Amino acid sequence: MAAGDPIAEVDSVRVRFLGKKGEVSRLLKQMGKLPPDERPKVGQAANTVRDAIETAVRQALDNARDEALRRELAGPPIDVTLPGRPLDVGPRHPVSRTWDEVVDVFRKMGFEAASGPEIEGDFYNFEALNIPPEHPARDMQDTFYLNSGRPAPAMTTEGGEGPDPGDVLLRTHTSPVQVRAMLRQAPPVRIICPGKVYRRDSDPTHTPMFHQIEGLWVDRNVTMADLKGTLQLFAKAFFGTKAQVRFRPSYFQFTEPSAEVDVSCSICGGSGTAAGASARSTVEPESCKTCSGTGWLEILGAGMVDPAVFEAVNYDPEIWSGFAFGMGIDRVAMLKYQIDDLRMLFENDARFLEQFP
Amino acid sequence: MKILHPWLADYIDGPLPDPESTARSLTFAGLEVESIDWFGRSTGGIVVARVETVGPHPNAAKLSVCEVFDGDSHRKVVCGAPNVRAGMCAPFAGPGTRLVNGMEVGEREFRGVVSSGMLLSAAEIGLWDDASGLLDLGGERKPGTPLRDLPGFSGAVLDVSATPNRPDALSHIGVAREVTALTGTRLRMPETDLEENAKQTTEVAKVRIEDPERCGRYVARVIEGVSIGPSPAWLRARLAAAGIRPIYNVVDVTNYVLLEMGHPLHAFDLDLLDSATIIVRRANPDETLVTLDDVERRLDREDLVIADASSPVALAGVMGGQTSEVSPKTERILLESAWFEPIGIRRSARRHGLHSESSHRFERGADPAIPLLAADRAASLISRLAGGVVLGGALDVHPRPVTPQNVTLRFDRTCDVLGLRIEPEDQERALVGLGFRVVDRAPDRLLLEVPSFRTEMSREIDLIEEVARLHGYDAIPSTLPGRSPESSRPDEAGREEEVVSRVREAASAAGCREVVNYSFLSESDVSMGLDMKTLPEARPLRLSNPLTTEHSVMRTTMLASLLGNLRYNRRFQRSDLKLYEVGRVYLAGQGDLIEEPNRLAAVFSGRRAPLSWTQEGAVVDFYDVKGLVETILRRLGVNLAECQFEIDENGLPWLHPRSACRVVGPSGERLGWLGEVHPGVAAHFELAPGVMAVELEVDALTTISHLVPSYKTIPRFPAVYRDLAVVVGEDVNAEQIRRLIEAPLPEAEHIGARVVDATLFDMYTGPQVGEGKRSLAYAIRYQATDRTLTDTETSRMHLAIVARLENELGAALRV
Ligand SMILES: [Zn+2]
Repeated sequence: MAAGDPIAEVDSVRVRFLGKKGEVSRLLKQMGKLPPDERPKVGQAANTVRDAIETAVRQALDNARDEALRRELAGPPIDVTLPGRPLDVGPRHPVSRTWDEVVDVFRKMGFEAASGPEIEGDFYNFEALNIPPEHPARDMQDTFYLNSGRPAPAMTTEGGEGPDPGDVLLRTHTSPVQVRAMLRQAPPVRIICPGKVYRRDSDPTHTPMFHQIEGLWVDRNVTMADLKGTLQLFAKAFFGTKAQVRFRPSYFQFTEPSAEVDVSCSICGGSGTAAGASARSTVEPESCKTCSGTGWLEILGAGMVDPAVFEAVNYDPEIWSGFAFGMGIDRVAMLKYQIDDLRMLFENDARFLEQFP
Repeated sequence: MKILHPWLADYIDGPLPDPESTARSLTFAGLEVESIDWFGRSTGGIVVARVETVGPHPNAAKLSVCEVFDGDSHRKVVCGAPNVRAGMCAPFAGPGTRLVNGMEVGEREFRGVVSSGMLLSAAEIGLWDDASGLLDLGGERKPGTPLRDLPGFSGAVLDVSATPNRPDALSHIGVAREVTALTGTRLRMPETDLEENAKQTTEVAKVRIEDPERCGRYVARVIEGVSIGPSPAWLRARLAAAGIRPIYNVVDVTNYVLLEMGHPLHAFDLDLLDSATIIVRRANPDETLVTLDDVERRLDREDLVIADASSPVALAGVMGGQTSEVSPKTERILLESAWFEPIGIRRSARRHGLHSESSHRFERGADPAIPLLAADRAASLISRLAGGVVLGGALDVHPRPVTPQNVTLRFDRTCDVLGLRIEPEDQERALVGLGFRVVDRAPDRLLLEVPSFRTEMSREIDLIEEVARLHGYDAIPSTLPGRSPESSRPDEAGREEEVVSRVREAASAAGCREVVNYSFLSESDVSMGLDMKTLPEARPLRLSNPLTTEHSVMRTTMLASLLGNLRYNRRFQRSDLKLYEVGRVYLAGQGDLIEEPNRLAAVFSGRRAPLSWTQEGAVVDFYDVKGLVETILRRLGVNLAECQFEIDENGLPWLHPRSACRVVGPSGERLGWLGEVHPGVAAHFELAPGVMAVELEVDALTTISHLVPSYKTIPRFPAVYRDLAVVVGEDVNAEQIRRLIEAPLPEAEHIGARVVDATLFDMYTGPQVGEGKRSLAYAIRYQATDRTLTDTETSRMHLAIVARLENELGAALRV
C-alpha cells in the first residue's frame, strides 16, 4: 500500500472490499444460496469481516493522510524571493497631501474650512482688503486679468445686492474668501481657507499658480498674543513639538500690526548647520541648505485684521477684533519633503509622483 | 535700498552699533535687511600714490611715462589715461597686486619702457564703471595710504527692503532716524549753510503750477556760474556704494540728496529753458518728450509734465528730458524740489513703463514738508562742489499747504490689541523717537502730531503698530483665543471634503497617481484638437495678460490637463500610467455667470497592472474606468442599480463613439462621462489610441451621496446560489437582463423569499452560440429571511426567471 498516492490506494482497497460491487457485498448477496440455518452464522462472519476491513481501511486512510501531509510539508521550499503580486495603490500628490494635513491641524483648533471662487472681482481681492486702485501694495501681487466680457462673481446675499465686484481677475490670495465670509455672516468667524491662487510671475522660485491657506479668527478681545499662540500651536502640531515661531514686523495692507512669521528650521533643528558637520571641530560647519544657515524658515504672513477691513464688511472694530494669517502650502510641502525644485510640483512627472507613496 | 553703514553715522548723535547689530535691530523693527555686503572689498593692496612728474613716452604718443611716489618708493610707471597730471593723487597697484578682474600687476614693458606697477581707474578697481581715466583722488592725500582708508571707500552696505508703507525709510536719514529710535540716540540733520547772493531768483526764473491737485508744491533754486566736472572721490564712492553711477557734480549732488533725505530733485540747465519759465501742467495729447534714457515718449492728458514756455522738459516726478539736460557746458542751474501726488505719478510711470528712483518715492508718498530743505541742501552742496552762487530767495509755489494730522492714542487700546502690557511712558517714548510730537495729553491717552514724512499714519492702529514694532514682537506672549458662545457657522466644506476623500481613495486603489495641474492651458490643448464648435462647453475664458501662450486660457476640461500629463510622461518612456486629479474647471455658464465646478478626472493608459511575473500583460479598456466609477459610487453610498450609463451619440466628441457614455444619477443628475479617448484627440496629445478616461462632477456626487450607511440585518440562514446561462441577441444589453433577473418575483414573494442579486460571471460570443448572439452567465443569489430555501422552492423561482427572460428578451437557456 505504499507506492503512488497513498490515499487513492487505500480508497481502491476500500472499494474492492466494501464497495457496492465489492467482495463483502458479493459475499452477502450469495447468502441466499445458503441453507437458512447457516445464514446467521455466515452473515455474522461477513459482518465481522466487514467491520475488520472498515477499521483497517480507516486506519490505513489516517496513515495515508499523515503520510501525504508529511510529504507535502517535507518538499523543497518555494522561492520566497520572487516578487509579490503588486497591489498598485496610487500615491497622493505632495501638495494635496500637505493641504489636507494643514487643514486638519487647524480644524482641530476650532477653525472651519471655507472656499470661494478663484475667478474674483477686484473688490473682493483688493478693495475690501484695504488695497485701493493704484496702491503700491498692488505691486507686491502681479495680477492676471480675464477678458471675459462677463462681470466678476458677485456676492449673493439674501435680500440685496452685494458690492460691485469690479474687474475680473484670478485671485492673488485666498483672502477674498474671508471677505465673502464676513459679508455673509455676523461675527464670530473662525475659518480656514485653502485654495489655488495666481500671480503673474514665473521663475525658479515662483509659479504662476500656487496654493495658499489663510485663516481668520474674529471674536471679542482677540489679541496679537492669541495669534502668536495659535501659530505656535500649529507649528508644533505640524513641524514637531520642538518647533518655535518668531514674529518680525512686516506690512500687509489688510492687517495691522503685521508680521512675518518664521518657524525654526525643521531640518537642522534651528542650529543653522548641516547635519553631521558639527562633529568635526576643525572644519567650519557647513550651513543648512534648507534655511541657508539662519535656523529659521519664512513660512507665514500674519497680523491683526485692519479696522478698515472690518469697516468694509460692516463689523464694528471697537467691539470685534481678529487675526488673520496665510501661508504657501507648496512651500510647506517642499520643506516637509525636502523638494528643492519648485517646478517639479506641477510637471507631474511619474518619477516624481511615485516618490510619495 | 542700499544703505551705507558708515554714512548713517553722519546723522546720529551717539554710538552706531556695528553693521550686524544694526541690521538685526532694523530687521526686527520691520525694516528687513536682506543682505550685508562690503563696499571696497576689491581695493585690497591698492594704495594712494602721488604723480610727481609726467613725461612723454619715447615710442607711443598716447602713453606717458610718470614718476610716481607710493609712500614707500619712487617708481616709473607707464600710463595711458588722458587725465594724468603732475601733482594729482590716484590709486596705485604695485607689482604683485591682484586686481578685481583677476589680473596680477607686474613689472611690464610697454613699447620699450618698463612700468613698475599701474595707476588705476575706478573701473579697474571694481568701484564703478568709469574707465575714462584715472580715479582722481585730489591732491591732498598721503601717498601710501591704503585706498580703503579714504573716506567713503569702504564700509558695510545694508540692503534694506522697505515695505510700501515706509517711504520714510528710503533714505539714509530715514534709516538713521529708525536707528536712533531703537538705540535711544538723537538724530542730527545735515547742515544747509546757504550763502545767498543779492541777486534774486525771481529776477531770472518763473514758476507756475497749473494743476495744483497733482503738484502740491514746487520749489526752485537757481545757481549761477557753476563749473560742471567730476565730484570729489568720496561723493562718487558713496553714490557708487549705494548703486548709483556718478556722472557730473551737479547731477551727483541731486542723487546724493535723494539718498540722504529721500527727496527726488532735478537739475535743469536754466539757459535751455524757453523764457526761463517752469510750468507744471498736463501734457497735450500731441506732445512728445525724449526722456534721459533716450526714449521718445508720446504723452497724453493724464501725464503731468514740467514744461518751459513752449514744450515739456520733464515727465513730472518720473524722469527729466534731454532738451534741458545738464551738460559740461552748463553754467546756470535751475534746481527743482517739488511734491507730486502719488497716484498720478504711479499711473504715468506705469503707462510709460518707467520706474525710476524718483517715481518710486513719489508714488509711495514723499515728504510734503521737505522740498525747501532738500533744495537748500542741494544748492549748498552744489555751490561748494561746483562753484557758483546761489541766488537769493527760493521760488516756493505752494498751492496746497499741508496741515499736520493729529491722532489720538489710547494706551489701553495698544495693550488690548497686542495682548501685552506696555507702560504709557514707553509708548510715548517710542513714538516721540520716531518723530511724533505730543500735542496734548490725558492720563489714559495722547494726542500726537504725525510727522510730515509719515503721512500715511492717520489712525490709532497705525500708532499701535509703531509702538509694537519698536517694543519688539518678541515681547508679545503666546496665548490661545477665547471663544464667544455664538457659533461661527456650519462647516459647509466638510461634506464635500469627505466625498473627495473617498473618491481619492478609490482612485488611489485603482492605481491612479494623483497630479496637480495649472488651471490654465494653451488654446490648442484646451480644444484637444477638436473643432471648438463641436464642444458642448462654451468657449474658454481667456487671460488678458497671460505669461505665455501655453498658459493663456482657463481650462474647461480636466481631460486636456491629464492628457497633457500623459504626453509629458510618454517622453520619459512612461506610457503605462494611470493618473487622477481633483480640481476645478472654469466655465462661462448661463447668462453672465462664471462657474467653477470641482471635478474628478482620471486617465488610464497602457497595461492594466504593473509589469509582473504574476500577471498577464493585458491593457486597459472601457471596463477599467467603469469599474472605478462603480467603486466610487458604491463608496459614496449610491445604489448602483439606480444609476445609468447612457450613450450620448453626439454629446461626447472627445471620446470614441463606440466606447463612451454618460453617467446619470438616481434622479437624473448629470454625474459626468467615461469612455475611450477619441483616437484623434489621443493623437493631438502624441498618444497612441486606447487611452481610457473619466470625468465626474464632485458637486453632483456630493448631492447624491449617502455618507453614513445604515446597518441592515444579516440573514441568519444561508442564501442559495443557482447559475443561469442565457443566449440572447447582441442587441440585448446586460442591463436589460440584470433588471429582469432582479425585478420582483411573485413566486418568490409568495414564499417570503427574493432574488438578492445576480452576478455576471461569464460572457461568451463565438461559434457555440451562433452568429449575432452571445451567452451571459449569472450566479443568482436567492434568500429567505426565516429559513434556508429548499431545492424545490429555489427551482420554482429560477424557472420563473428563465421564463421571463425567454418571453421578454427571446433568451434561450444555455445548457
Ligand atoms: Zn536649517
